[in-house]
Amino acid sequence: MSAALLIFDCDGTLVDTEPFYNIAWTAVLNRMGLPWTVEDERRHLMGRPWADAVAIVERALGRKVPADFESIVWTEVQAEFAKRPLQAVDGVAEALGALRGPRCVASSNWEDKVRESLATTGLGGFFDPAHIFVAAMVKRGKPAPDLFLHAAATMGAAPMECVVIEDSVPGVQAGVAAGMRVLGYAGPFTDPEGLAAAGAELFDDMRRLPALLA
Amino acid sequence: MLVIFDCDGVLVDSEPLANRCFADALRREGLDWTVEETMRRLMGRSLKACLPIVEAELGRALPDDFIDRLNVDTFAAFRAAPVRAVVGIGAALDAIAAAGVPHCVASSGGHDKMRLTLGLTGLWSRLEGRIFSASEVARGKPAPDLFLHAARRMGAAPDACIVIEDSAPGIVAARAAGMRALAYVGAPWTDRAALQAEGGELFDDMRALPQLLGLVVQA
Repeated sequence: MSAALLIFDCDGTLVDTEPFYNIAWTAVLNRMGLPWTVEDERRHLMGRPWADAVAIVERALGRKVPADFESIVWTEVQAEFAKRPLQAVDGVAEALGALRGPRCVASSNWEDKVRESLATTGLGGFFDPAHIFVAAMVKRGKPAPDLFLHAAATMGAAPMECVVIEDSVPGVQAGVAAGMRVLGYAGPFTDPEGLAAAGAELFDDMRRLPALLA
Repeated sequence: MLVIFDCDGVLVDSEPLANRCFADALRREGLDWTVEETMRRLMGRSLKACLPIVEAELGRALPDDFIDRLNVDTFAAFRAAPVRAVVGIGAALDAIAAAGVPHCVASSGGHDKMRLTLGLTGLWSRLEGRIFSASEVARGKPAPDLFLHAARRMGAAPDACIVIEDSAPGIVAARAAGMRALAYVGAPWTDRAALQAEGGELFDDMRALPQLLGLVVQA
C-alpha cells in the first residue's frame, strides 16, 4: 500500500547536520583534556538532551565543566557551520525528486532553523512552506508521538497511512508510538542497532527510498 | 564594532509574562507586589541577584525550589502566550547582518530560557553560537563582567562595543565596561529618566537602530 503522507525528520535525515556537531563537541572536549575521538563522541553523546550530555562529560572528565561550557560548545558548533556549507544528505534530493504525493517535515529544531537549513541545501522547493512542523507546536517533543500526530492531522492523513523517515532513536520511537510505519536511515552518523531495536525498517541509501515506498 | 544585545525586552517581549509569573510566585510566598512593582524592582537582574532583594523584603529565605518552580511556570507562559519578538527587531537584525557588523547576545537569563524565547520568536538561527549568559560569569549585571566576557569571546575591544539595553542595571553594566549604551525605551514600563541618568542614549523605535549605529546613509 502506498503512503498517504511521508513525514521527514530534518536534521540528519534531510540535511547532514550531525558531522558539524560531532566535530565541534569533540574539539571542545579535547581542549578540556578528554581524548575522545569523533566516534566516541557520537556513541556517548549524539541525540541526547543537553543536561544528560553534560552529566556524561562530567563523569568522563571527573570534574565539573566550566560555567561557560554551553556558550563554548555553541560557539564551536557555529564556527564549524561557518567553515563549510551545510549539505543535503547524500541522495536525498534525487529521492525527493522521484517521490510523488503529500510530504511534510517534522523536526525537533526551531522553525526558523529548519527553514534556513532547507533553503541553504536547496531542498526548500520539495516542501510546501506551510508543511513544516516543529516540536514547539506540540506539548511533548519526540520520543512522544505528538508532533507526528499533529503533522498527520493537519495534513488530513490517518496515522496508519503515514510513513516516517527518521535517523534518530527518539524519532523512531515517536513514529512507532504514533502508529506509523518508520523507515530508519542508517547513514554513517547513526546507531543502526538502536534504530532497529526501536522498530524501524533500516535502509542506508536515500536513493533507495522511492523503491521502498513503491 | 560589536553590537551586544540584551535579550529580555530588547530582542523578545518577555518582561510582562516573566514578571507576571514572578509576582504570582511572590504572592504564594506572602509578598503582595503588583506586576509593575516587580518590574520596577527586579527587571534586568539575574534570578540569582533578585533573590536577596526579595528575601530582604520578606524577612526570610525563599524555599530552595523557588527558582526551579518559577522557571517551570515562566517557560509555560512563554509557550502559551506565545512570547513575541520586539517590534522591528527582525528588520534591525537583518540590516546589521547585511552590513557585516558582528553582533551577539548577553543576557541575565539562562541559556535554556534564551533557547526557548529566541526559538519561539524565530530569532534563534540568526544568533545561535553568539549567545552569552550571566551564568557564565561570577557577577551578573550591573557588574560589567558579562559584557566584557562577551566582548572577549567575540574578539572586540570594549570601547568598540555598543550595548543595546532596556534596564538600568544593564546600562550601568555597559557603562562600567567602558561601552556605549543605547537604551531602548519603546516599552511603556521603561524608566526613561533612570536609563538616561545612568548614561544611556534613549531611542524608542527598533526600526531606527541601524541608522543609530551609522549603518544607513540618509539620502
